[in-house]
Amino acid sequence: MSIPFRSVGEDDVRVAAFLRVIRDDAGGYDGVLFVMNPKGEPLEFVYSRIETPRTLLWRRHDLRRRAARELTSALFSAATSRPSVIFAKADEVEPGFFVSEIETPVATCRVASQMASVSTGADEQGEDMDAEGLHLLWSSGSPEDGSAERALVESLQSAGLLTEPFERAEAGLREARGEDVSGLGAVH
Amino acid sequence: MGLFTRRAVAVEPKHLRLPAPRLGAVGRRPIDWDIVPARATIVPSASADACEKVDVRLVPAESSALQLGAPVEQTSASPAHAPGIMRPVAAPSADLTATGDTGPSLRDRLRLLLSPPLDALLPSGGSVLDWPGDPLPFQIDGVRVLVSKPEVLLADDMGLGKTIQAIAALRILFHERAVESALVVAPASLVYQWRGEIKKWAPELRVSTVRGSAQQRTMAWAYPAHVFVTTYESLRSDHTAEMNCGPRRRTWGVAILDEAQKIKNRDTAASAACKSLPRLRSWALTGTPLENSVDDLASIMEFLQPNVAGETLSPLPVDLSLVERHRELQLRRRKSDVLTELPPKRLHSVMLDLTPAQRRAYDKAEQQGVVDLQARGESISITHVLGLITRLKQICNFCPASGESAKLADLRERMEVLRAEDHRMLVFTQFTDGSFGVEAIARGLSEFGPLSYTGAMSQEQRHSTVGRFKDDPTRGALILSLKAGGQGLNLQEASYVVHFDRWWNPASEKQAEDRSHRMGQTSSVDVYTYTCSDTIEERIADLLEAKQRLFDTVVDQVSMDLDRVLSAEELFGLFGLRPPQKSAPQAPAVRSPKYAEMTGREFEEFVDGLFRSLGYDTELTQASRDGGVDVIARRDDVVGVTTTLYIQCKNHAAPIGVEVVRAIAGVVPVDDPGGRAAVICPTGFSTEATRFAEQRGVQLFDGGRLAELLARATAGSAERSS
Repeated sequence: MSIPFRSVGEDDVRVAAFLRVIRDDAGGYDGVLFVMNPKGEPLEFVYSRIETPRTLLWRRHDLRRRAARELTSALFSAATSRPSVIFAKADEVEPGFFVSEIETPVATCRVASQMASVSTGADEQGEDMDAEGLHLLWSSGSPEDGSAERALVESLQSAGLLTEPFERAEAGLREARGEDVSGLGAVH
Repeated sequence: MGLFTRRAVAVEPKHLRLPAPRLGAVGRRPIDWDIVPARATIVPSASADACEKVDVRLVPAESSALQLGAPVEQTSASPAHAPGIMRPVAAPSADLTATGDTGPSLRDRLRLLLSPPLDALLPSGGSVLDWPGDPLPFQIDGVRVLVSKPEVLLADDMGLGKTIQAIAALRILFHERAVESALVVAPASLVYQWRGEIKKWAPELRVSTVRGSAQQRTMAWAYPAHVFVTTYESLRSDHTAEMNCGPRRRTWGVAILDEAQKIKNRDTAASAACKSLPRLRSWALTGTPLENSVDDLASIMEFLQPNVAGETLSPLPVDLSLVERHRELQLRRRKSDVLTELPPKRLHSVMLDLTPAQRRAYDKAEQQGVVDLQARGESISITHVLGLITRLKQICNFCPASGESAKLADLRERMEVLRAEDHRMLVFTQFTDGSFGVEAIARGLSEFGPLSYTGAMSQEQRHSTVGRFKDDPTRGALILSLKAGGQGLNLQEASYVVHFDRWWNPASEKQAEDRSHRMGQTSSVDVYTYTCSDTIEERIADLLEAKQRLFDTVVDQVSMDLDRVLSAEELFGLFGLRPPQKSAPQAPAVRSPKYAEMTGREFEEFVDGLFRSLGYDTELTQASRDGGVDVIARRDDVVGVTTTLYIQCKNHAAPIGVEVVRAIAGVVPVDDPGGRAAVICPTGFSTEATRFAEQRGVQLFDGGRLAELLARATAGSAERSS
């Protein structure tokens, strides 16, 4: 007769995902989803690339939005982890992206420097992180105090891991691609 | 859980039948979960969206439950991608785990790149690792250096937490999987301390203590541990020419020598064993990298050479390259620089007269000893001189006939006062026996509940003794032999330290003092040093002072002045004798000039001439614009390092105060690493000025030291003329 039990611990561990969508000079986009635990230890690294047509028929804005959507859906469908929060850079992902382009029950947050001029969506809720000089723009409301998502954010904040993983994700992408993509960036 | 960290995945349940514990079995510990080496699977996952996925998890190697996705067949692009509009890139089908001739696999490279940055691991606020405390900023800097450099000489002052820094760095390296094993070689008295600190600061690391009988050591070397802690003696015994002997069976990720001055002698087996350990990283921890001569340092530097294969390397020459290498590898912080909040340490020299019975015994022993030495003629050796010194030092402690002791009488008086105020005391002595050393002192202080700590005790007894002293405040004193208890112990419970007799080495004495004067100490520490007047102890004190200057010069200023190494001449000179082999010309008696009759400028010219005759190139600054510096004296020492003294001359009628020393302390140009400030005043310096100078490395020359310099200059010219 088996002993009734519930494994406490790993199931309760919350993980965070950091999404990058990076445009290169060749006209394509690279996407990275870097998943890590609150200690910053890497759990999953998913990357993909999409090449966009060189045609005047596409407006740059539409092309970027479409590329981000396709890349993000590819990354999300390939990932096996279920993060509690997904962070993206505000200058790489448009306002409303996680509402009108990608719908997910996971808490999503665009991260912007307080020094940067960033447009915000009507349905985004802002949160200032003055000590870090950051704006957190939550797509579906900021996590409530005491929630697992809030605990994860606080843990990342105390470890200085709210923005640093974006850099690691790009470095990993560069390594995986075997090329220098440091000069790449999002189209504004 | 973690991509590159711990993850236990359930495999098929197995029933394990554990054997009943056997009493008396050789030191086995409960077996914890063993995290087997990861078999990482990097799966190119070609989903409908043609995504390249890299997913790695740790699983037991024998498990078959790790299939996070066997290679998935390539499929065409998602229907969502309109052909011709967007073209997803096909996922690579290559095995990303493969390691070809071109270098590490993508998995390994990503492991490095995606690991948390060093700053996120360091033991500071917000670290992703759980640390049991908050090290001070300078300690975090030390950890950073240890993690970043393969060879480090961590030469912080005693009591600044070298052990903790090393363990924290080890933990980070293990966490990053940069190392898989580490060896700590420490004095026997510190093994328990290392175990305790590792348990505290790196609880996930398994420790195997290699000591005991040969059989126990063999088992300990084979134990599946992360960190192996052993003693210099055990290492020497187990280190053989066989490459599969315990210490050489593997290439250590890190080899750490604690109290690395233990290998100062190049010729010992322990020294050779340490240097031929196969290792990727070498850390030497010592607050006293130089005890006697520059050769001490050279021997430690030989350990700090890359030696992955564990080969026997040729000795390093003592030349300029050694200095450069030393400068490159040494990280040294002084207490006065980094622990401004540490309570002060006050040094008190207590000069005592022998009791009448001691005096009679002493005079008789010295006279007879000198006669015996002279009678040996050409066969006399340093050993004979040292034997006489030891005998005389014993009598300075206790009269061999009556047991009287001026030192003990003084110590008892102090103890009565201190115990009334609940203070506790550490008493260090060179001797351990019941007539002159630890046991005799303990007997004399019996009403204060003293405990004894000597090398004759087993490690367990020593450990227990320290624990009793820490836990039981009724124990008023811990009497330690300097050799057994002078290193590594943390004894902040006591705030008074007594050197019952003197040791040859000021660095060893300072180490002993810092058992109490270290981090965690909340009271000021008073150090009392007994010296019996008109005895060999007084003469030794002069030599100790000179040796302290050598240490300050070589270790702290990374320059070398070999003039002050204890020589045979100095040893024989203690008794007015000369070594038999050499007959150096007799230096003429030197009389100091009448400084009081000199004008300020005349005194400056005198100093200028004095240093010139000592071999310096000197420059007498203009009287009108000396900027505080009157004479600049430069000299290249034997290894080509330039030392520059920026000297201020003060021919005052009274000792000068700290203001003058403070003013001169800042005149050394920042781009002159060999530069030191100096003040010369025949009438001496105030106590505060002396203390300030010690902290800031300012050289002070009073009338006594001026006379020494004058004698050396005169002897040098006499030697040249002869």
